[in-house]
Amino acid sequence: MQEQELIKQIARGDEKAIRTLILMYNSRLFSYAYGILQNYEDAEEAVAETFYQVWKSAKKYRGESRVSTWLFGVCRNVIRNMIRKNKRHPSMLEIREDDAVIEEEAQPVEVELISKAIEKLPPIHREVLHLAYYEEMPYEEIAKILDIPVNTVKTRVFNARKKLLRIIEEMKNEYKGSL
Amino acid sequence: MNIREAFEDYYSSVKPPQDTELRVVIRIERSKRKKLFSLLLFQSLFLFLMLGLFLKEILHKDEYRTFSAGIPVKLAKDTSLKKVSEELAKYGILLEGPHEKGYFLLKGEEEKIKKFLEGSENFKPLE
Repeated sequence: MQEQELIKQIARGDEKAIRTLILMYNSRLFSYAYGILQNYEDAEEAVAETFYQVWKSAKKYRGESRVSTWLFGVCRNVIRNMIRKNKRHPSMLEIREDDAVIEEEAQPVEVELISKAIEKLPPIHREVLHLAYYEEMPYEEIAKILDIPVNTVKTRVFNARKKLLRIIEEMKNEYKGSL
Repeated sequence: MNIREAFEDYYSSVKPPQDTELRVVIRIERSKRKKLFSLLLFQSLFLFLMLGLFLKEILHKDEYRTFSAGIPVKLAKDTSLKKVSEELAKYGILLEGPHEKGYFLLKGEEEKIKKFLEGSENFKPLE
């Protein structure tokens, strides 16, 4: 069944359709939410709220963007609202981008090391890398989800990679220092 | 630098929740109940309002007399009821009464009664 048809069914109040959508997107949205919030319970809550919001606003979906783009957009709004309410997490909206672009070094780095470095990234950078590399979304789609221009997405991805490399370097130096 | 693999490694220890469906269904049911409660509240208010109007109509009958109930009129002195009845029959109007306090009711089409009252000296409409 086409995803857009599924949304139409949800708009008509079909509970079976929302259950199908949950099966399809639960894991992907949870990873996205967890990537930003870094808290299991909060991510769990964000995903449940996202699907509930989808249930409520399915009628408003015009089919102009892909269903996945719309879902990630809804999830992002839910997360943003949670952050505003709780104030427990650093607001990803308050973090400003450094537009300066410098050459990055490309070195083969171990997956585990990068994984640990990802954990240390600010939410804004982790989010954009998640969408660009884990979800493998095109920049245009990421721009729609984040509601920013495509060029800003490009800059943000570049800066996120730069930051990631810096963290990896710091971790390597820490490891060398401890030996 | 394989960022995708690193993300897979990062999420590998975190299993997605299995009860999302239940959580969502509970929220949906809760919202349905809320809607139903609001509807019930609205209906109760509407019913209360209707009941109030109904009571007011019973308590103030005169204010709510519908036209089909007839127009209350007074008969001028020394008027022959027979003569008046014949006159009314021409217009297709019925005369009902006398009711308590001595008034009569003229029943029929609104326009005809109005026309009749304008030209009649035997009847005076009650204010």
